[in-house]
Amino acid sequence: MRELEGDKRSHLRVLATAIAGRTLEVDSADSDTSWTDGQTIYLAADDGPHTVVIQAALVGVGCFATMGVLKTLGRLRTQRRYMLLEVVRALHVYRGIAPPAVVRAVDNLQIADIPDSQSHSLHRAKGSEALPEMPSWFGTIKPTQVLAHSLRHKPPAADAQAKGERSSSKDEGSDSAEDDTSEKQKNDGAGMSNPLANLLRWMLGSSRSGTTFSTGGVELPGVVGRVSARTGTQIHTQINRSEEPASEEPSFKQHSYPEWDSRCGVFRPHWCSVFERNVDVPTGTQPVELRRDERLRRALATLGLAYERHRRQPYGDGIDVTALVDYAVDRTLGSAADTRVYEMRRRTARDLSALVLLDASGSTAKEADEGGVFEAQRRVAAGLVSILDDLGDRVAAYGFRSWGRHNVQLLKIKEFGEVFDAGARRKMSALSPGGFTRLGAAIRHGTQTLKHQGGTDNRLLIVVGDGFPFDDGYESDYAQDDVSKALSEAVESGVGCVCVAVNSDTDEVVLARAWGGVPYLRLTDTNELHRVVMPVFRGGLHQAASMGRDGRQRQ
Amino acid sequence: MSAAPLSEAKSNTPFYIATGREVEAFQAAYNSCLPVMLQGPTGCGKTRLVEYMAHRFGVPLYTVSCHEDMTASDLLGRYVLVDGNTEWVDGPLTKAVRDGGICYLDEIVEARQDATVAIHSLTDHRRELFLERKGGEVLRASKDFSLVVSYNPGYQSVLKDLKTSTRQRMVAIELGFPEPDIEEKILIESGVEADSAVALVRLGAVIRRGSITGLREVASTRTLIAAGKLMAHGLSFKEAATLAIAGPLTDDIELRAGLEALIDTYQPA
Ligand SMILES: Nc1ncnc2c1ncn2[C@@H]1O[C@H](COP(=O)(O)OP(=O)(O)OP(=O)(O)O)[C@@H](O)[C@H]1O
Ligand SMILES: [Mg+2]
Repeated sequence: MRELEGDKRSHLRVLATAIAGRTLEVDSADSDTSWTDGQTIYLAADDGPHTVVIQAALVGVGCFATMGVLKTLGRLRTQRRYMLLEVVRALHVYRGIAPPAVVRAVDNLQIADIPDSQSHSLHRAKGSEALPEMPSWFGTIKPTQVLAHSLRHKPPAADAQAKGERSSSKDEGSDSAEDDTSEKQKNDGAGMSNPLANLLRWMLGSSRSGTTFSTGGVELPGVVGRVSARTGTQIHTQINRSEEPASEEPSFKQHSYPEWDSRCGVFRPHWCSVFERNVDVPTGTQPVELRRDERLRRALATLGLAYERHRRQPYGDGIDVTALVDYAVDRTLGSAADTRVYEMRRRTARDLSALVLLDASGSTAKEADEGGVFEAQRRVAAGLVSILDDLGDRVAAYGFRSWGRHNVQLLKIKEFGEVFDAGARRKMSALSPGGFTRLGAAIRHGTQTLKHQGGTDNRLLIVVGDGFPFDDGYESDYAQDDVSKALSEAVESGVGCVCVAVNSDTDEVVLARAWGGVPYLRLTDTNELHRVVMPVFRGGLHQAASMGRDGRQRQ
Repeated sequence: MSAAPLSEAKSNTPFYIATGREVEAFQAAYNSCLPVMLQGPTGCGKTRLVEYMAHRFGVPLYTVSCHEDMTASDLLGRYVLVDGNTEWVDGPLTKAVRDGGICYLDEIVEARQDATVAIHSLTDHRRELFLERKGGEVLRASKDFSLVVSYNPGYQSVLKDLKTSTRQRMVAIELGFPEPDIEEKILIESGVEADSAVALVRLGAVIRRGSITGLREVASTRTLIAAGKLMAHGLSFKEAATLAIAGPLTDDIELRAGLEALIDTYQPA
């Protein structure tokens, strides 16, 4: 494959992502047929953007999202016919957003009766109606690979559309019950019996959609051991899936971020997937308690101010022309003239956006005092959010945790523009610690959010937690260097970063390596926050201001 | 600040295709003497709708683009010195109130609140304007007066927002981007060739889907029309769409290359 082509290929990820409605990668295929595992489109040497559109549309429309995939396993004819019908369905759904050339190519297949669901496609694929051959540039589908991929990585819940479809075909389970058994036998014959079925069940069960399985019996495995994909260190992280709350949301947007590999000195592109998720608030949850802290309020009141024009001043460093004209007019009219004709610039306007990242990983709960640390951190976060919000700053708050690089979660407590009302405070209460700490990805996502939604010159990312990075394949030097890198990226782009840790016993060496570049505050008494917070926060803002490009009116 | 009265004598109607029930809603608000608040992303046709409605009502339109340094005098009017004497000159709002007409405050949140307090008494049942500077003159609004403001909630200067009290006095009309068939029609009527219109509208729609991260905004109807116009002047589809659509969306080199590859795929059939 020519080099130039390979470069072009990576540019096609924008096309793939745009069509699929979620992040998709594009890479070269080692065979001469293009296909996708649901996360990456593997493009054959002879294929181009139009193939990407076809494959991305299949992913977007949920062709791989449900059990239908399994049912086509093994029979090549069914598989090809199924794919053809799904392409027709997908391009019908995406007609309004797909490139004209691809729409035309699919129209040219002249399939009059367009399938309206995955099960409809499947049903017809198994039938005997005459269907045209697919052009080879459509590529192929590899159900087993999609499954294998999903087993390695917990898939994000499928597109809203797919979900809608799934719930609408709720009764599919029963009408195809006999099918299930026959397929199972077939699978047995093919040598991939129970383990695959189990894993498949596990995978499909994880999205807890409307689809129900008529054949019961096998439990979801509760604990799945995972071995780090990294060579070198073998990390066996027991990831307890039952801890992870299943999603009830129809879809969430996936954001992908690189991770810094300090041993090789390169970024691993699109390494981590970050999802913003809603917090499940059980009924009866009380809003997090806010303590009045006048001293903290007074301290924070001087943070992140910008110059503002004050008109009609008795004295000042410039003349207020409107006031001066009024003055002249009043004098001419003979009425008492107002002599306050000056204007002054003073630093009085609030110009700060702050994003609080509350560490909601399990590590904070394991401390000796049974969750006391997490409680204290929650209180600190709640206090900061409510005071800054009250002072008129732009504030957002998220909890964060992760289960491996494909599942970094940011739990929405309060977004920018939302009020810190009882609802938001309940969400903060409802957070319970769990999972791991892929700090770099969380910091990168927080930084992006601040940059796109902050809207002010002064921007501050406040991590409330021990600042100790740990996740599957994310440990020691590697993780600490990534955190350090994420922080310096943020600061360089004009986002100040600080960490506030409560009763943390994080090792000094770790701290220096990960957090050495930005202010880090180790609190032992949360009531003392007001005394120590300002140098830290100011320091964070100051670093960003002196690095940032448009540091015009910062402190 | 621009205050451009659009004369009712101007005979050619501004080109506007309704994308929903906004024309009826606007008409009803106007007939009921209620102020209108237009919401919608940039480039979706807010200004065009107001121009069209003013023409339909046969009244002049005074457009004020609000900004940070705008003062109350810029809206209401001021005394100016003429040969040692003073003379009052009406601002655009006062003109519309006095003689009838639509006063359109574009991006009202950009103005400081003390500049726009005057609209309060205009937006309730009183419908009067108090000119403190002009010796406290009180003007009752003409029956043909209408106040229209535009307000883009997703806009950058997120620090500011409309006061709820102001917001509640207005009829909010929300404009989105038009449905594909309507948008195609708008493009074609704006002089874009039919095949290109189809391709541009699909390109716009796929970008508006929002799955590409890192874009500054989405592709608006305005940018699609701009691309079409560049094509009419000899640029290729790819050149035109890259300049008019991809350009405003990002400066990031890699993302830019991705968008160009995307655009390339959308060549008109
Ligand atoms: N419904 C429509 N009918 C006709 N033309 C339209 C319509 N919608 C948008 N346009 C076209 O899009 C262009 C941009 O619209 P307009 O200037 O009214 O946007 P806007 O919403 O006022 O944007 P901004 O918020 O940036 O001021 C117009 O010049 C016009 O060519
Ligand atoms: Mg406008």
